[in-house]
Amino acid sequence: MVEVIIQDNPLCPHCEALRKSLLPILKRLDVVIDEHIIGGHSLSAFEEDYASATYKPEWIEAFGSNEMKKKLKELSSILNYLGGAVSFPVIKVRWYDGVAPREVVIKGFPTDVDSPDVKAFIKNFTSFIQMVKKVEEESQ
Amino acid sequence: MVYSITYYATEFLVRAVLSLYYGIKEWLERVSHVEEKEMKPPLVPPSYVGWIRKHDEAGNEVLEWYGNINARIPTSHIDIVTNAINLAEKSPPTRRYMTFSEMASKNWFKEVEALSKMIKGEKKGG
Repeated sequence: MVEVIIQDNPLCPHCEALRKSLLPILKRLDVVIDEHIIGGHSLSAFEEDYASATYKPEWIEAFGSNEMKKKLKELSSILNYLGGAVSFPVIKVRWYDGVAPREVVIKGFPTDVDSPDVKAFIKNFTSFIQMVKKVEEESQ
Repeated sequence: MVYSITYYATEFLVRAVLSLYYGIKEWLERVSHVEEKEMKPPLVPPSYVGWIRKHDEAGNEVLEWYGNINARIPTSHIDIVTNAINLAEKSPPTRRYMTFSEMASKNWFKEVEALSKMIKGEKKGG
């Protein structure tokens, strides 16, 4: 079962563009869609998003690359602020390949739906979901 | 009679030479395009029958029988010592982070491959 979890906010123009361009394609691809509303005055206002943990110094110390670790001391104050903030939209794709669950987290989306970047993103995302579905079918 | 013999003989020769030429040309083109891929050994040997330690859909460790019977034992709360193949350690649950621009780039699949080589993966709950 391929799951796509979208973390967004109804007042955010980036999230509106994401919903407009991605949701019809996800419905056509026949995957499980789960929409989480975060931030603002929502019930889950204090819930963390999946992506901001990557800005936290603890995360960078544990999983970051050597370049990240070199600049950690200089940027620690900004990173602490970014790690505590809630950012949206975030897309999480989750699947099981027969050995362990795998996840891909994609952060950010532009406001312009008709830009060539969005078209390229949708093309790549569609092929990625199709590939993941094939992997999951083969594992069963 | 003489005309037909010479005609068919030349036709045969021309056909033979041309087919040889195009055959060699095609073979050379095909050879230059074919590259040997590095074949990874399978995680589980094909003839193996026994227990395998791996993760289930929720990310918990389980022991699964690899054979004709469907059997799965959750082992996240107990410590069983077996001769099972440990896939849980070989390929743990992974989570990869990407930005929109990385996902929208033309060389996206190359970037994913590079990511998977570079990062071993964040363990779930770790």
